[in-house]
Amino acid sequence: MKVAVLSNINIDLIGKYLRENLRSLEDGKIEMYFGGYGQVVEELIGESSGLYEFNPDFAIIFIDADELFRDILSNPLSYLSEDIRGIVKERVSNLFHAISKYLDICPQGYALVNTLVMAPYSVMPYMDLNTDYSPSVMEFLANAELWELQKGLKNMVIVNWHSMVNRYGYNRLYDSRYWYLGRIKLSGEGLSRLAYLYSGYIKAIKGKTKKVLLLDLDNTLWGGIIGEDGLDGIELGEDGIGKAYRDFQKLVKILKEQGVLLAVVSKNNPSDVDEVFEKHPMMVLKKDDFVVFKVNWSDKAQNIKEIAEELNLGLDSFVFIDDSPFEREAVKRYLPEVVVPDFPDDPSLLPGWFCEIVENYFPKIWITEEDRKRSKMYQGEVRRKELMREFTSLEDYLRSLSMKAVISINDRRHVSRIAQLTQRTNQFNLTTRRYTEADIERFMENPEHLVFDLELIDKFGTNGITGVIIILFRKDGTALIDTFLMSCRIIGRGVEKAFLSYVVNYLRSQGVKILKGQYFPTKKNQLVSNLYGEMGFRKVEEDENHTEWEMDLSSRSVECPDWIRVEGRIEG
Amino acid sequence: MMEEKLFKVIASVLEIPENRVNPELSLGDVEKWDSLGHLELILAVEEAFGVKFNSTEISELTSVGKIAARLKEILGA
Repeated sequence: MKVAVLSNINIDLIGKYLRENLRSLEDGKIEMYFGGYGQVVEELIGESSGLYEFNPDFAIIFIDADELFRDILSNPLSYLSEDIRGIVKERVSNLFHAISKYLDICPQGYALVNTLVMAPYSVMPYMDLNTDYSPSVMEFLANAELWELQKGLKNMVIVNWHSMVNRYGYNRLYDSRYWYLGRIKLSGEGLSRLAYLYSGYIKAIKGKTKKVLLLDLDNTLWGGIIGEDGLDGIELGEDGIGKAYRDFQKLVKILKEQGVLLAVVSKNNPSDVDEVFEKHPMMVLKKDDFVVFKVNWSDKAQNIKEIAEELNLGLDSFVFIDDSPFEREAVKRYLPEVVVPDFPDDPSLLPGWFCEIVENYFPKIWITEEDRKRSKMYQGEVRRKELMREFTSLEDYLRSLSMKAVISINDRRHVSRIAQLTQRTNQFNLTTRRYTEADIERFMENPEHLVFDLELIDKFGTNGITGVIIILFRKDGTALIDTFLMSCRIIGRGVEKAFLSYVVNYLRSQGVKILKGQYFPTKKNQLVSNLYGEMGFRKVEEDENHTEWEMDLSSRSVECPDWIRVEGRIEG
Repeated sequence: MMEEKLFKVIASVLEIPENRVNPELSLGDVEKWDSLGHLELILAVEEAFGVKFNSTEISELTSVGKIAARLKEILGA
């Protein structure tokens, strides 16, 4: 991963902190480039600049407001508020146009720009914001302008720095000593917080997020113990400390609406818990907000393992919240992949603490349609598993689902979901190539590529977009399956055959004679090592790093299982 | 003890082996210890020992020996 840093102040020392924060990504292989001090716009628009030569995945652009508006701030009484408005608009739009030029030429990259923060000190402290001479208004105007302009640019991301400064305080995050000695404005803590912030956005773009939040109940979703205190005795409501629990539940609900799955893991009598969910008027979370309920007296680690199996998700996508240090220790010990954060000892800290958990483990910038539907889809998944137990033959079960696969080609509305799938899918993924939204958009525009996606619908509702095939047309007239992946929640229903069968027929109709496929083994994709073999491809190459397969489309096809109906939708 | 920790911090910031750190080692003696490197070094020392030098001191603490002596004064060690 390549990260460039541009700034109008000296910020080179952030390198160490960025490396620490990004260590968990891509095995910590991070290359960095620092633009010339104060050369932000020059680097962005000069196509021969070091920035273009470096060609980063992420360009961090840190703008210091006091430097950006240095001339006005050093002579504030000669500017009226109307002058200020024009100057701010012009400077922010200059910066924006430089960034958008850069992103035009390097569309696979992302630019991360901070919200502007001005020093909270002034020699006209009372006049400011009350008269025509109001330099502080520049901060508001500039941030609003940045926000307006950014709306049209998908791969420019605004980094909420002023919110971080509000949280910890300007006096802690900035240090005037380093400014006067070396044009470094931020303190050690400031550099570290800023690096943490940028890293969160980078993780969000790269889709490094957990999927499931496991919640205990007593002293977690409400105060007290339902089995002892009873329905009227637990603390949950609009008054007193019960409000902290209610506020916490509201935040959990918002996280759920962003696509995170919720599950309950609690040692309790199920009837006591049902009573709370059904009868307590102050419960924000309802039973159907959760995809799984494990309320029993068994070991929590065992329950969590079962949830992982029922949802078909790895334990490394779970975060476990429990007030009991004993339960946390047990889960940490037996399931080290599960993230187990410490729990605050004062319930009033719960809401703020939870926001930091979200910041760390559930980073997300854009919400897709998939995210909004995810909980429903997984609830369907749990019900499908129940139904499956009633059938003796798998085929009877599959027939009973009445599946329909809707396949779209180059559908721009699906770009973010497709990118998300390439980022997240590990098991049924033949090449494990990770793509950003910008990459997918490029493939859709480029006639050398075709991007197919598959939405699976059955009698329990839609499973969402769960399959992606990306085709690359090669100069020699053959076509290569660059990417073939399916979300693990629909594996084992023959959908992959229906998908490939459709793609093969489509390519044949476009005159393709030879279709090639590759398999690159990883630690997790053993499942599909012989997939192409099973589908009738011939192995043409093999070494320890990959296998390559081929199908002659003039004489062979892939058969579509008769229990899946396929519908093709061709978009621009 | 303090000195040992200080030498470790300095070696790590300057990216040199610990045995090259000695009280005489000064600003300009190694590639990494230039004016920016100096601030990085001071920042690391401040973080490691939980101290804060004033800006005049920062400009004057230009050798390992001077930093160690000032730390001893502040920490009383």
